[in-house]
Amino acid sequence: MTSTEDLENRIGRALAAVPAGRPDPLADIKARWNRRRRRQRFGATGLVLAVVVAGGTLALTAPPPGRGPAVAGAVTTTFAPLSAAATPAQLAQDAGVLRARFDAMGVPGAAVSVSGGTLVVSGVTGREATLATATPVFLARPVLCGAAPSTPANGSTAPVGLPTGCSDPRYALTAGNLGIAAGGGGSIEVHPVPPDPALTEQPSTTPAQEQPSAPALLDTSDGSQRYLVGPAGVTGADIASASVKTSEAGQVLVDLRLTPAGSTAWDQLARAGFHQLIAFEVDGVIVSAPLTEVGQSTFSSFQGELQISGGFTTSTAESLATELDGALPAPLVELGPTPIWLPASCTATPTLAPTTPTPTWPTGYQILDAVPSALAAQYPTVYGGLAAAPATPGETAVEINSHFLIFETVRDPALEAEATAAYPAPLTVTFEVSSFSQRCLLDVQAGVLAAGPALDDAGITLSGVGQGEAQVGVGVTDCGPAGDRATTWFTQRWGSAVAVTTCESAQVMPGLAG
Amino acid sequence: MTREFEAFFASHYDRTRRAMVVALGDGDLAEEATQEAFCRALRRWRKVAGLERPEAWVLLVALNVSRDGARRGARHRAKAPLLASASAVADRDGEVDDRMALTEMLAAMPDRQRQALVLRFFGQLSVAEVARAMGCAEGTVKSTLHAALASARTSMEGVR
Repeated sequence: MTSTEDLENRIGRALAAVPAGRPDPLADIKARWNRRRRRQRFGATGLVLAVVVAGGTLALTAPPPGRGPAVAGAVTTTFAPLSAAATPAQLAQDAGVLRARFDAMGVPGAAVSVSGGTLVVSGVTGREATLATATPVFLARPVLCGAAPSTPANGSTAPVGLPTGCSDPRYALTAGNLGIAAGGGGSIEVHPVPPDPALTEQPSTTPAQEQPSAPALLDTSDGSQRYLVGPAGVTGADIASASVKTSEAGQVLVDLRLTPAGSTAWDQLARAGFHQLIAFEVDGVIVSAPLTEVGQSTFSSFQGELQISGGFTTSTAESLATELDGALPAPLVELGPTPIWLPASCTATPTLAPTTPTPTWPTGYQILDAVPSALAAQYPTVYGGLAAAPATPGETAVEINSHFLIFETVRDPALEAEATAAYPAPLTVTFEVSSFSQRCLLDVQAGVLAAGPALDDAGITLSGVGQGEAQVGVGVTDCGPAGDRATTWFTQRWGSAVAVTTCESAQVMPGLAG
Repeated sequence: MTREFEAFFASHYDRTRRAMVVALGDGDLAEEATQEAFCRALRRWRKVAGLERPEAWVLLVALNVSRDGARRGARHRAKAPLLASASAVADRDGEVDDRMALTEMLAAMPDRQRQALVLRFFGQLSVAEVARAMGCAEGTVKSTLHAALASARTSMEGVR
């Protein structure tokens, strides 16, 4: 007789025996919740969104700070074709694919336009834009044998040549070793096959090392094991479309429709690996390694259909399907969020001669992910200096592959003549920044001031930039949380005249928050 | 998102997920149902937070979500899957036997019995709390649990 106490004990043991779940489920829940909120918001405020999008698009071609409208909150991102050989027609096709992807993501208010050889995406967050334009590496490979999970030890070992097969036949994940009867019968219980000990010390193949035509040793997405896999039989180029479906049992699947060539390739791969494991890999990680047609005694064509059951939640499945759904005719590279100029709250304090003109220049700031080439050409003084290798650490060069915070002052033309007459010496602008979050400051020090001993050395000095216009900039990597603010100082000098402008500015944009 | 919800999540997510894994016998389905339940809790957090046992609400929603998902799946029958998940890793000890037996036992129960039993023993609610969560009288819960336990005894006697 099973008592209530016995049942409770069994439940306790069973609960304790449940393996750990996926990492960071809260992030999945937040993403799920945000997607729903966004759908509701777009449904209710389409008109408002359209206005913001229009403003964001204007910002692309509008003059820099003080001359264009301030657009708070909107992120407009510019993409360029990765290949110079991309045609306008391909770019237009890209735009169509992106619109479809945004629609699938539940962001119907996204605007995609072709502008001067680039694609401009607005009305979405930076992350959504990146997701929609991403082209993940998808490969289907035969599984040869298992290997022990990655450890710090084997992960740090220098790569050695990978074997092309298992060290002993008993480690091979063949239908025979897995105990799958030739007659099928629908059972998916398999014999455990031990991992190949010869692979234990092997480091996993990194995405940079991986080649579709060569074997690879890859981790599974839950990190529980690794597989030695053979050359890929199907790639992302073979995918015609991807969507999310739910199986009869309620399992979330990514459903792929293959191109005619992809269908043939998949059938060849599946036929060769009949009753064996085939690995589906995305960006160097095996998301699923199912057995093929265990319920059948002979192989039958998949008819160009393929379903991946990778332990997905709706959220993760939608992300993957979006990325896999239809290749972009012209792969894109992100130039970075289009500059968004926001007004800074500044107070100017002339500290020397009473005749010093008060520099009531318009001041603004923009936040970028990288320096768009068009802007670099437009403002070589700032961006050229930022892109250059630093002759003197801490002066003008910063790490390019980072979030950028660019400050620019544009002098009032009416004051220009007065200042030029009164102070014919070249204008020198010193820019200092502080009050960012500690994390951000550390990044500044690491990225900009490798040799700099103190925060004050974050100052960037530009000399002789001209009388009419001063441009200063600093790059920071991955600043703190949204809303984090910085205080900056601009010190402008003409000869002996000094004016200090203190700005409570630099607010980290939500889309770029770390 | 409130800190209060995050604290609630930290305290109750894992246990709810584990309960769902045992109840459904499928880690992926359990994770999906649990996340959906917590997402719904977040959406109406003010209301849920005011409940006597918000974790009971979440567990009940997760059970309902999984049940609705299974029904929806049955309505939209697709082709039989040609690719099947499989694990080549051996089970450890007898814990998995316990889990599988519980899963099979719960799968064989009517919805209300399963809800009552999961809330009572997995969610560790009192009979009164189960009654409030299920919106029925305590007496109904007692009789439902009685039937559920009788069913459990029958199906689990062979498992040790």
